Amino acid sequence: MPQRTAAVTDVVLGILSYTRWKNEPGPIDFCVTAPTEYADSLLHADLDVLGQPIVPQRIEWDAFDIALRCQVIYIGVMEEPDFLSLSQRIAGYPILTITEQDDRCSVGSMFCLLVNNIEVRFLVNLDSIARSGIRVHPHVLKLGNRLVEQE
Amino acid sequence: MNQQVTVTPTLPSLRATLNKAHLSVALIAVGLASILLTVTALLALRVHAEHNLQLIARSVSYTVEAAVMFRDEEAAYEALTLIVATEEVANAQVTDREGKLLASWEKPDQGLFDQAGRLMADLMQPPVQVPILQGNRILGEVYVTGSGGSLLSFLVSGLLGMIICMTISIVSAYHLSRRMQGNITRPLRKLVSVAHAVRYDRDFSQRVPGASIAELNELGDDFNELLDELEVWEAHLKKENEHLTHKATHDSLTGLPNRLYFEGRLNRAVRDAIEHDQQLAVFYLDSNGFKEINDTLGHAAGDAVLISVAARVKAQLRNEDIVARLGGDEFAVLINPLHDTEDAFIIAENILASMSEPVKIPDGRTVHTSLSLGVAVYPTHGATANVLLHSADEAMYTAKRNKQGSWQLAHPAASNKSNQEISSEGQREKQTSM
Repeated sequence: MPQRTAAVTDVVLGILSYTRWKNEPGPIDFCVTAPTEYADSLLHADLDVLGQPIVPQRIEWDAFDIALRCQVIYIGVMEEPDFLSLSQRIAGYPILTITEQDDRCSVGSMFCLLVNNIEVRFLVNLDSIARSGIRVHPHVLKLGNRLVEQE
Repeated sequence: MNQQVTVTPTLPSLRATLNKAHLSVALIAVGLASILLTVTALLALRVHAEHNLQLIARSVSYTVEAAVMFRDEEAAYEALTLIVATEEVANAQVTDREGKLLASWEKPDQGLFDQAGRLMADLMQPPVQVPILQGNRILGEVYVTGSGGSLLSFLVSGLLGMIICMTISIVSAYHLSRRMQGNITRPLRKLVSVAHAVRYDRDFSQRVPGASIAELNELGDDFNELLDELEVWEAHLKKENEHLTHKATHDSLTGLPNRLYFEGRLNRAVRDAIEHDQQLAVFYLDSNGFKEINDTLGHAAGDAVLISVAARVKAQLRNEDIVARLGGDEFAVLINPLHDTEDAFIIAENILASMSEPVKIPDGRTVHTSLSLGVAVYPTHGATANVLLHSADEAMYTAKRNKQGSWQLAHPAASNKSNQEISSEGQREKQTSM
């Protein structure tokens, strides 16, 4: 379990390192919502991405100002209607979404983690990313999209 | 002649020497230029290839960056292959931060050329290592080895070019030396042939033509001048020789040939007559009463008589016939060829008749002279010169005894006598020929 957590942490930090927001540079507001399996070290460790510190916080998915407080929302396990509602509320904001559930990318999540015993990989939803206005390095998109096409 | 035969094979000919010189110059020039060019170009190409390899490695590192970041081996392999497969790379590897191999690619070995190329690369193209960076962070490393293909193909084409250039040089050197050899040997050969003509044929009429090379031209001119001098000298010698020969074979008083000359001619005439089955006649003449003239009227009168007799006899003969003074008041005549024995008799009569005119002697007086004449005909009266002359001599004595101022035909040669004569005459012939 700690191994998977470390792997997930690596992948998430990797994704962040290839992501650019418009108001850079500065600390990254990293929000974690819903019950998560692998987000512990993301919440508690003192992390940074290429010199940009990560400021983690837990937040309720239905917090009214969630769209203003987060640049990244790491989403644990949620019911689909809740997820869709959350998606609707943050639509149009430059917020990167990463879910632990690999089926969420078909319903609006940008990155979906695929965790197994050996490695952690991810899927990507190119449309969501394009709509959000966040810039993600094409290589990363390509990596994620490769898996989408395989499935 | 011998000298020529022994000298020619041991010394190289001019052509071989020229060929060798031209060929060496051409080969050295082309070889040096080619090697220099090839080496220079190879060094330049090496720098270029190294740079190229560096670029490939960097481009690989950029392309696989994300894949390495997320440790996606498959993606890393795809990205690596995408770039490296079309480049001149033998081997490429991508490793992560900890040195773990993520992806590796190796060019399939397609035979001798690839192996040779790899050997070239080992020698001249060091492998390249480039870090995979995200910002300042090192994610991993790319390791690329060149395949040396372009180096090898350059070297091969360079060698091919060198061989082609060498071939062209050899051919043109050969042609050049042939042309040059022509320019040099033509006048030399002409010189040799002229020298040969002078040496063996005593032919001084030929001259060496002008040559297109200054030194050879000069040599030819000098040679020609030498020939001019030689020709003059030779002509002078010849004249001198002829004069001496004439002196040795002719009588100074009458200007007629002497006995030596006559016997020589007679010998030759008999040989020809034997060969061609012809006739010839020999007259032996003796002046009657010459001794009295000499004693009573003086030597000057005797000389005048002899000169007159000589002239008169000569006047009765054809150009090809010979009259010679054998000594004292004795003369001999060779009628050759003789078509009919009767002709000899007519000529004999004419000679005797021509003596009827008196001879004018220096003191103004005139003196009468006559001849006794013996005739011998080949083959009737002898088969050799000496027998014939002897027979004619005997016939002359017979004539003198019988009637002064007449002629007599020799007796036909008795077989036993002629044999004897031949044997003794064989010795004499040897003596005269010596």
